[in-house]
Parts: sequence; C-alpha cells; structure tokens
Amino acid sequence: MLLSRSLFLYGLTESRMGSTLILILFAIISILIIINNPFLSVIPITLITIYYIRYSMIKQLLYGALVVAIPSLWMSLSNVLTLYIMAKPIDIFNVLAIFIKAEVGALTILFVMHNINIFELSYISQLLSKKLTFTIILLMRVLPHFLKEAYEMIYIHKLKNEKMWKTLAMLFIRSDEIIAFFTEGLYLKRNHINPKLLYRKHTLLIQLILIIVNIAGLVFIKQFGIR
Amino acid sequence: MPILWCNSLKKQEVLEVNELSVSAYDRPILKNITFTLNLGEALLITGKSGCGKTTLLRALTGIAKELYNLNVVGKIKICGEKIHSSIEASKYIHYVVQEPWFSISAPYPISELFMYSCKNQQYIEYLAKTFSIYHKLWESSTNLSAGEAERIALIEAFASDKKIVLIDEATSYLDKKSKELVVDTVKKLKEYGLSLIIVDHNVELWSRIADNILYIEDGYAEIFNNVYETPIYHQLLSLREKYRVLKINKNSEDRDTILEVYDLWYKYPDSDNYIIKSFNINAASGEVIWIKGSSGSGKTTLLKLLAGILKPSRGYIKRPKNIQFIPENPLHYISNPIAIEELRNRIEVARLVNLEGSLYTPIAFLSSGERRRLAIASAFMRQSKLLLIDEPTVGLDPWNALNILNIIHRLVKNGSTIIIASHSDDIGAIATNSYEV
Repeated sequence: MLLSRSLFLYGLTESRMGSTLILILFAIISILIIINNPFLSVIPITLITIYYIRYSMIKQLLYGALVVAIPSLWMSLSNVLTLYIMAKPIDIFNVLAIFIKAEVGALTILFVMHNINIFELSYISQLLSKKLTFTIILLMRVLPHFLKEAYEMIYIHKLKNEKMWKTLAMLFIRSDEIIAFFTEGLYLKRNHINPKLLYRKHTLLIQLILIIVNIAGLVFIKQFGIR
Repeated sequence: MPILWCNSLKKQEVLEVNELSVSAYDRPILKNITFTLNLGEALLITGKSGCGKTTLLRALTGIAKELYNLNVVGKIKICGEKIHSSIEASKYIHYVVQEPWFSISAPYPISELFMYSCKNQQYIEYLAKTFSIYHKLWESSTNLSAGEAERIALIEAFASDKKIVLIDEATSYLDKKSKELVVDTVKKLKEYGLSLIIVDHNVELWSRIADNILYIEDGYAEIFNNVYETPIYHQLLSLREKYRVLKINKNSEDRDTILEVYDLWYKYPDSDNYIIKSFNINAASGEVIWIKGSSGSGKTTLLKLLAGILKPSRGYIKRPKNIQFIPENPLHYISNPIAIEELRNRIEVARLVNLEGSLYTPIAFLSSGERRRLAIASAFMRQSKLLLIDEPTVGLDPWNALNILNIIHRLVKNGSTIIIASHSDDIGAIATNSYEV
C-alpha cells in the first residue's frame, strides 16, 4: 500500500504538466551534487520539497521518503557490518553519507517519476516507435491497477490463513487475465494513438527556476571545492 | 461543437452484415447472421448468456479471428468497404468491452481522450462538460468507477470520429443512477449521428434508444422492432416472480449476536473527509444484512472495516474470530488453481452450489458466475460465523444472479450470518435487514 501511495497517489496534477526533460536534467545535476558532497544534498532536497509543497503533493514525498528509507538504511547498515567483520574502524560520517546518498538519490529519481509529463513522454517516444508509446502509457496505466488488486488479494488471503506462495500463484493467474482483458479492450486502438504535447507555462517556469538554483549549487561546489 | 444529427440523412447504411457464421473448431456459435445498421441508429443485441452476443461483436471487429482463433465466415461491410481485419475495422469502429476500465489505456482520462483523437484540449474539455464527466478528467484512470470509465470510453468514440460504437454489457457493473447516466450518454451519441450496437440483457433499459433488436438463440438471430416483443423480455418478467419466493423469515429475537458495531467512523489516510460516519449495526446468527448505497458511497470500505482489513478512525467493532470476506472480484478470494482443491475435495459443498460439473476446470476458465459460487462455497466451508460479500451479483446476468441469491439463501438456512454490500435491488429479495451508507 505504501509503495502504491508513494508512486500513484495523485491524478494529473499541474506539477505533471511541466517538462520531463528539464526534470531529468535536474536529477542529473542533483546526483552530481550528492556525489560531490552528500551533505550539500540539502540544496536539491529543499528544492524538491518546495516543489511538492507548491503543488500540494507533500504526502507523496513523505510516502516516497519512507519507502526509499528501507533500502537506504540497509545499504548504510550493511556498510557498518562489513567494517565490523573486517575489524576496521567505523566512521559514523561515512555511514551517514551512504544513507544520505541513497535516500536523496532515490528521492530525486522518484521526484522525476512523480512529475513525468505523460504528453511529452509519449510525444518523444513516438518519434522512436508508436509501439513504444503504447507500451509506456499502458505500463503507467496497468501498474497501479495491478498493485490495487494485489493489495486486496493479499489481505483477503490473510483472512483465509493462506500461504504466501498460493497468493503469488493466484496473482500470476490474475495478471495473465488482466493482460488478456486489456488486449481485447485496446486491440482496435493499438494503431490509432496520436500523442500531442501539452504543457502549463507556470509549471515550466517553476521547473526552470529549480534547475537554475540547482546548477548554481553545483557551480558553487566546483568553484570552492567543497568536499 | 458537436453537430446534432439531421433526420433527413438517416437512411445512410453504415454497416452491412451478411450470412455471418462463427464457429470454434467444429462447434458453431453463430449461424447465418444478417442485418444492417444505418447512420445514427441503435441496434440492441440480446439473448441469454452464452448465446454468442459478445462473439458477434468480436467477429465484427476482427478480434474473434485474430485473438480467439475463431472461424469467421460471411460478409461485413462498413460504409461500403469490405472488412477483413481488425485494422480495417478500427478505422470505423470503437469497441467498449464489458469491464470498461480495460478499454482505457492511459493513466489519466484527459490523456486518453487527447491521445486518441485529433481534437484540441478545449474541445475535449467541452465534450467532458457536455457529458458531465469533466470533474474526472484529471484524476487517475485507476480511480474511475465503472460508470465513469464507461462514459470516458463512450466520449472517446465521439472524439476519435468513429462511425460505429460497440458496447458490450454497458450496465452490468452499474448502480441505478450510473445506468441512467450511461443511457443518457449513449442517447446523446446517437443524436450526434453515431451508430450504436449495444449488447445487454436489460432490454427495458434501452427501450427508448434501440431502433431494432437482434435476439439471438441457438446461434440464430431474429430481428424485432420493439423490446417488449422479444422473448427475453417475457423471460425476465417470469424471472422476477422467482425472486419473491426467496424471502427469509425475519425472526432474530432469540438468536446470538454475531457482530456489534457502534459509532463507527472512517476516513482514508490521504483524505480530509470521513467516508463512514457514525455507523451502527447489529447482526444476529442466520441474518442476511444488506448494506445498500450507490457506487462510491463507502459500502466496500465498510465491509473492509468489518473484516478488519481497515482500522476504524474511531468507534467500536465486536466481531467473531473467523470472518471471511468475498470481494467484488471473486478471483481475489480463490487461492487454488482448480475448484476441487479450493473446496478441499468436499464434493458435497460443490453440490450445494451446483459446481459438480466444473470441479476440475482451471480457475482461469470458470465463468464469473461459477467463480462467485466457488468463492461463496469456499468461504462457507471454512465454517465462518460471519460472511461478508461485496456485490455478489455485479457483472452477472439475471439468471446467474438468481442462482447466487439461491445459494446465499441456502447458506443462511444452515446458520451463517451474511452481510452483503450491494447497489442491486435484487438483494432485497433475501435480506432480513438493510442499512443505507
């Protein structure tokens, strides 16, 4: 449920009417900042938080942070364990840096995924192949649908005291059925997809401001050699 | 602006079907079907379950041949062009399947309508306002109700300039209000000049829209001009009589209380509004309680609260230990690949729900009605004191729905307490008590 909420909580909000390309560039710059100095990741994370607050999507950031905290913690703790087994001194700053790198890096990628402009993405992908466009939008459609059904099935099987492998087997049967239903429902439409671009100027402007501030942060690090 | 259809142009033939036969290997499904459809006309296809209504739609679209490997013989012409494949059919036809959310490929309704038409955003928004679905345009497609998904799929037909719309069992998942909204939408599409082929059992519902009725029985088709002349209308009338004999005696004074709910409140973690407000309920053994309300009113949420899947925001629930919850999709309940395993080899339970003939059929090949009967039998077999069933008759034809009610009736006589959440008035036939959400 948490995974589903962290990915698919809102509809097509204004935040998703900007440019995915700008967001990808923003993510690349953020990751460069994180790699250079994990403690300066405060810059991208502040910008990301402001964006979520601006579009009233703060819950998605919180759920996302909770979900990515699990692998981030695991990565930093496994580092502690490795050092302990090898009888080497444990540097708490290093452990913290690993956690921050994983957490902020994953949140930055989630930020891009949360705010993908479906119109832009399908327009660009159709330049390569219309089948690719169809696949991308269908994936974004099917995934939340399947997660919703899977969540319900898991809970109902829990009430039945069923073993997990049986639930997984039934999920497999159901996913096969969902594919068959979508195939029939969309069969006639498969060749008629006609993507067009759609943006909101205001969202584009905010995204541009974010990326400028982020670039300034990166230049600052490079200029003053902060490590 | 959509242009209202001019009556004087109405005789233009858009679809001609001549001697169409469909068979699966050597088994004939449809035999020599012949009919025509004019521009702006609506044809209602009806008949009992399994008579080949959906197969006819699949044959018209090329899906029968290409996806189901059925043998299709005969002529199909649309606007004078012979149709041999789904690609040719797709230029003219928009097909809305029985579970309409599977006709939507994009994650948001606005992107669906925008990407499959050559219209601009303003026009799409105008259309959505005309069909009263504007408020759902920017939401996630996953959160659309069946009625909303149906209407989005129908608007798409208009926005993408198709000539013919095929609608399979449009109303089987809908409550009364949503049914009326879908019928209104179809009526508007007809007025705008689209030709429609509607498959449904509920002939009365479409009486004000259908120009002709194609009744299929034993693979053969017969054309009627009036829904009240069709054999299925009379069959449905006599079926209604059978619902009356199901009534369960309401005599719960000396029975044990199974479930007590006091001042129950619930809101989803991401919502600001309570969906369940101060709900109280008492259920005794042998009772059938009907939770009624329209789609989206919180019936399923209430069942999940009673089952313990969701935790109440506040209030008190005293429930027995062994509760079983059968959701709207019975496949979510079943946990074994064949019926006999699900019923732990108890053939007498299978007999109770008329499933002796399907014990070794893989779950994937069971019909919706069979799945539902299996799920109910499986839950009953677990000796649950309280059985919660969500929409037991949704998506079923009236005969299968009656079958389900008969089974519930039998289970209650064996001492189970059953709480049913449903928008269908049919449940009233077996309910001893009802609560509105």
